[in-house]
Amino acid sequence: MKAVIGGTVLTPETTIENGVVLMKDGKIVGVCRDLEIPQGAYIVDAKGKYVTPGLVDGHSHIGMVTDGIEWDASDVNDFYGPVTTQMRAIDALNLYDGGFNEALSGGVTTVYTGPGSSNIFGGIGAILKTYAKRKEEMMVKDFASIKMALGPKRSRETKTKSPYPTTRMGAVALARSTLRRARDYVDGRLDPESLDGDEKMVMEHLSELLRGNVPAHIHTSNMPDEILAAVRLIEEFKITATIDHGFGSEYYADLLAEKGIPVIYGPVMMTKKSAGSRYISDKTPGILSSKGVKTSIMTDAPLIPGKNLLLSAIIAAKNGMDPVEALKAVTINPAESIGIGDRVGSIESGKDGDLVIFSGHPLKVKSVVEKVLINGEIVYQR
Amino acid sequence: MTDALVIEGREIRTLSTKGIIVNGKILVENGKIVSIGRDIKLPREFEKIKGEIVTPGLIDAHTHLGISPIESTDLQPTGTDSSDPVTPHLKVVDGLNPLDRGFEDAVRAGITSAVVSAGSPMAWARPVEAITIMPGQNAVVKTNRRVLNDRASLKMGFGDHPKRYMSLLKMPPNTRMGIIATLRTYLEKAKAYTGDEEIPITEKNREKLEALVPLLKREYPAHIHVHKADDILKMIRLAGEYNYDPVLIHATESHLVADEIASSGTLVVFGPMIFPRRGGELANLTNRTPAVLEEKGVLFAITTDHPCTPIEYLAVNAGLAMAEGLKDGLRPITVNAAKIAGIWNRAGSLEEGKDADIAIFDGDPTEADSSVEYTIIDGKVEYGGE
Repeated sequence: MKAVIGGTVLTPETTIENGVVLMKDGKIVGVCRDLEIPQGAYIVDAKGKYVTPGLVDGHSHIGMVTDGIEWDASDVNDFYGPVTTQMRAIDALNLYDGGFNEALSGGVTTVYTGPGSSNIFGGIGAILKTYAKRKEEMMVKDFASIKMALGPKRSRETKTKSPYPTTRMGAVALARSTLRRARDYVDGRLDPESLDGDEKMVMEHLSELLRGNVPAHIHTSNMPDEILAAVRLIEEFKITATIDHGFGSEYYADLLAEKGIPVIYGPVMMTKKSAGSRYISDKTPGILSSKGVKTSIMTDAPLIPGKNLLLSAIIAAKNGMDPVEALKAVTINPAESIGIGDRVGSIESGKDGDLVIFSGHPLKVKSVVEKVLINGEIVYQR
Repeated sequence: MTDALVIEGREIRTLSTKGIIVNGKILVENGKIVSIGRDIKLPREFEKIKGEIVTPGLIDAHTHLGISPIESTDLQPTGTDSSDPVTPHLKVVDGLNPLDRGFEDAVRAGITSAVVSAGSPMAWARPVEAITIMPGQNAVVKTNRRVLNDRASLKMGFGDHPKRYMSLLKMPPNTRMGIIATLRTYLEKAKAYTGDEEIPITEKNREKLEALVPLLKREYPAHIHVHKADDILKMIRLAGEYNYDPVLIHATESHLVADEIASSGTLVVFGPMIFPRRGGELANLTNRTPAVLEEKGVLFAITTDHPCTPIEYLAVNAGLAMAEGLKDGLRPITVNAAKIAGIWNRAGSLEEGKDADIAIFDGDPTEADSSVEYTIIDGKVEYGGE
């Protein structure tokens, strides 16, 4: 038994002054104002502090680009071809990447990490805790998403197995034809024995998407019209998906709210150097959430360091996002959007004992992370 | 007689010997601060602005405003000419795009002056920085697009970044010893240069040497792109050898050699802070560095390296450093930045006789939940009050 006592608990939906969070066997078993603390419980004093759920980063590349190495050694984008769904993040992940510790130091306890956006189908993403005594136990889900991007990207590496589309209509057409083939595969109209090894793996992995077992993370970063193309694909193939990055997504906030498609927005504070950054606005998360879109905020770490996840939410709050919504955007919303809302993202009984203790209100730049708990254990202390 | 402007602040942070003036007033005439205090003599007619917290206009001591415009394509001009590794005669003002929307972002964030640097901002999602070993001459501008100094400092680049860029261009030098040897060759020539040499000097070389002579006469400092502790020491040593003034830009590992930096009196511009630890040179990037530099008595500024981190987050960066122990978050983005930019005589603090460059916030300037209410440059309201 472990009890975090005396702090202001932000669940984050509700605020409990002088709250008690009780944990047993790594799980939260109670949260209340005047909870009786069982005898012999290990006490973590949070008097005068703020307690939040462990933060969740809904989109990153931690472990795929190791901290402190040059980026030409990155494992994010494989130029094998425009469809590389046979590839899995777990096969590239460096669990010793300092990026996990960095995220942890910023109160981030769970991250989605995965392939990049250079391919129409980049590969399979994973969800991990940022710390475990035995590294392999960091893994929460090794098949967490199908990464998609509706490009096209301007520059490509030279050697590829098959040609990349050079227009958005080409990219969307390739996405559509690939998904149609996967539909045929699921419905038994495609003989698995007729496929070569790569394609068979691609089809098996895409089947998980079409059967509704995993969501797609669809990268849209240049302009709002990409979102319409993504929504068409989502509807056509009846898949679950998140809109990742979503610059300019506020233009289609009503549509996204109506269809129930979540947005994982960001990274906030990134450079606006390229022409594609026209639609970057710190007001977007606030507009999305006020119109009823389930809105999360990402770091895209290491682009923005993982420890700056909460700072990104602070910037969104400064630009009009409701403070509770801003906290939800880095806790329960990403947890639900990436498919682990039953395990993490809020302080309630039955969930993992992932907590952050802050020196002051978490939406202040000058508040610091003092302690982080994962599965009920203190894994970081300032 | 021009219009007078009076600014009333609940708290005026002068950053001068007057400290913080509670319920104070600033009288502005002809773009200058005429008087400042609790009870000052006011003219009969004036325009009035009231605000919560009044500070000097913020200054970013290392940006690429207008030279690496935001929302641009790769075809637009930047601050590095890749035809030659040594181009001290190039001037960023000659490539400046005043229509860069970054200027508006700066004004909205209370930033009134900036150093515009030759070279390139720290590159996003790319492994190689576009920087040569001597890309050109920096300018100092106000964010109302007025150029204050078109030859404010000389940009240099050292370490892995120019090394990698020169290798990419298949152009020597490609090692640290090669870079320093090249720098030394040019510095030796400049030392000997009198202007009426009989030995044949190519047109291009003459212009290069003419740009280096004022460096050696300490008429302007060198702004040196450098990250690692050992590289910092090498750059301080070379500057000492030729007696020019070094300013360390980025200075990622400056906290590791803060004593040496302090004892040599070298100035530092630290940042960008919200940046990946990409490559070995950035492996030790930490928000704690400003606190260490402050404690050791180094005169340092904090920079966004705009557009690397967009300039509007300058004050938030100071706040992040304060969360890690920096005591005075405003000084590195006002007083110190003005001194490093060479505009301390006219900006960086609220004092009589200085330019009326003023920012007014509705709360703590270095905390994210406060906003800029007004930005005033040369006595003119450039933002706020609509």
